[in-house]
Amino acid sequence: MTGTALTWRRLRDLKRTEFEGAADKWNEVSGRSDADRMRVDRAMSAKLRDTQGSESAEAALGRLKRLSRNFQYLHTECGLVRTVLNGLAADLAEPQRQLKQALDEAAGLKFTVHEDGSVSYPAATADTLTGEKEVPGGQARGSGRYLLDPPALGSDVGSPFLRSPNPNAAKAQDIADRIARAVASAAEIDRRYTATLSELRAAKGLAVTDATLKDVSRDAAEVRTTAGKYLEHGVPFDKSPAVRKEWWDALTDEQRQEYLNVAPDVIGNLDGVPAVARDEANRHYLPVLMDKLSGQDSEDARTKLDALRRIEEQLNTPSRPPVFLLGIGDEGNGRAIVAYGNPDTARNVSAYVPGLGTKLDKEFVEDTMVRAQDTAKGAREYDKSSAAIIWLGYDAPQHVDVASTGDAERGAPAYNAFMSGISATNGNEDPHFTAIGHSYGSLTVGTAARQSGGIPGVDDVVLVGSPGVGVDKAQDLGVGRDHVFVGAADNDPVSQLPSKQQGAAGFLGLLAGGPLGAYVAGDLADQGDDDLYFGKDPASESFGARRFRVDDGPRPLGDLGGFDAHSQYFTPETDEESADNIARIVAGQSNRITTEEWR
Amino acid sequence: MTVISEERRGSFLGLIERFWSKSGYEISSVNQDREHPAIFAKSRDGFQLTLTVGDKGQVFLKVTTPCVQRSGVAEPSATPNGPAYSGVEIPYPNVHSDFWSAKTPVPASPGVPQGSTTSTS
Repeated sequence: MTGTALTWRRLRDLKRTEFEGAADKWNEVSGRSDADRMRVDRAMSAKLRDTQGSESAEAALGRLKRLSRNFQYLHTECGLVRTVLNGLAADLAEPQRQLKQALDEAAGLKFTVHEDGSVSYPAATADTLTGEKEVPGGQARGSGRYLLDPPALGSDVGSPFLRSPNPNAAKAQDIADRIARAVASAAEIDRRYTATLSELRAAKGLAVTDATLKDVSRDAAEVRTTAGKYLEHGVPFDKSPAVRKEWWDALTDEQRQEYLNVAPDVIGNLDGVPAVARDEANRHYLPVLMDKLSGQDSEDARTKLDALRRIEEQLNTPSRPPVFLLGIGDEGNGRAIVAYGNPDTARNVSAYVPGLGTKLDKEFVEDTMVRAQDTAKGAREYDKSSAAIIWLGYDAPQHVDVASTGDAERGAPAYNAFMSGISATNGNEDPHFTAIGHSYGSLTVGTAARQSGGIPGVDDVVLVGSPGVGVDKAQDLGVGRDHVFVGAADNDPVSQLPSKQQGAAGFLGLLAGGPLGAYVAGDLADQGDDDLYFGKDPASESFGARRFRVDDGPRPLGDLGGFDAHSQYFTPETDEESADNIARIVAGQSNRITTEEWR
Repeated sequence: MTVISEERRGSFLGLIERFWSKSGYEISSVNQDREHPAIFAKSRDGFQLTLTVGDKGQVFLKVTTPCVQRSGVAEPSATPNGPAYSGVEIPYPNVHSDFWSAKTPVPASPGVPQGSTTSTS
């Protein structure tokens, strides 16, 4: 629609279906390119690779690879053009509707709408200060500005005293304003989409280089900005995960592709969307997020970017069980939800909430994520249909001296929403879910369990290295006390964290940073006292959970172990028995664990 | 992957436990579950040994070294005395042994044959 100015007549006569028709054609090209790419990969390249080993075959393979990348490029870019056209058609609907309404009203009142959008009204009888008399007709010129916009200089929209006493004048003014606003809004939409569309240009030549691919992701982000409203329209954000799953399943392939390619940030963390789709969306979103962070000059951004690079590397390495990226984000201390094994097909699924000091950084990828991977591997020894998730979907406290229940209270609803999502998408008739909380994460799990309805779908709860979970009894966690399992190493300082009255922050501060020699061993285990920082010691008799056997771990001072005993529950390399017990619980075989006495 | 029948699983674990003890390893814990037993042991120089019996009698034998500097690890040069399952899903036990797969408990004497542990894991 560029070139000539947009008039109300053009907006009125605009056939939005023509844009949609064009979008369908682009979609066809996109789909055909995808099919052609698969033909090149599967039929041609694969056959050539299997049957020929000559140099010319090698060269042909190279060309075929380029062809395949070209088809891939076409598929994505044509898909983006399709989305832009669909978005344009959808966004123009509202101004067109407003315009038509205004025009209908003008016709009903027998007003005339002129080419320039001004509206003339006929003479009428009016009540004036000097009595009832005939006042002449006139013409109202519309303004595209909204009431709250400051008036332009020399504007004739003046005080009410200057307005015509003709009762038609105000109505005509209102209609003229609405016409002008509709046209201005459509023109703005048109400008925005035109700019985006003109960005979608391919460079000359057949080479699809890394720069081209980067361009593709920038194009997708650009389209996302422009057509975002159209794409977000209809996403049932305010509905339950079960309803969202129905919504997703009912979409056409084209619509799903549109969301995955153009709005991956919307779909990637939407509880209720199946894991395979979330994974694909997040893999598309990852480069966009990394691009955004690389443009920020802060320590925080660099730390997150480094972690995301490591995650990307892991995603690109084939592994058993396979990795699914179920959520990613840069808000707060960073977000990452990673599954080892497909949580929609596995019968046993665990979701581990990490604790104190966790954030999206190198340690998270190298240590915390590996714990979930170890749990998945271990559980699969007992039941191959098992998957384990690490859920960093909240801001954990970074230091013990700032730890309050606030982070857990904020994290709990998010965790429950996530669990409700995987309950909705798991395809097993009777899945077995385990909630695992480590360190402060056990308080988050405890807080989630206390919300009405408890943690959706959860059958067993595992608490390790816990400073207290906010309830005094295992049965208050909503799964029955026989389904609450506690791992507490005798040398884990966090699981011995004295209650606030006993000055825990000072105690840990000494242990972590201060001179270790200054620490008085007698403070560690206040014999006979089973109150910890956040409530009853989950390893105590009065709490009443089942305590599984773990290694005592190195002593914080005697062995210079520091916090080591706090960090080895999941890790077969440091605590085989604890990791094995967790694996058995996750695999639904909690009757086969080794146990130890309460504290 | 030798099939170890449920009837002979106890004997198999007993054999391992005795061998580990005799080799100077400290048995740190034993899971006595009938279907999925496990043994956890440590050597004096800090190696950890674990044997677990998983789903369908599949045996997992793991050895963990003490802490070392992070470094690349060469592929093993020895050839396995059975199919190599590197990089693929390890199958459930599928090789019959007249001794270990027998559906009767091990006779009281004369004991178990030597050297059969190497073919199992």
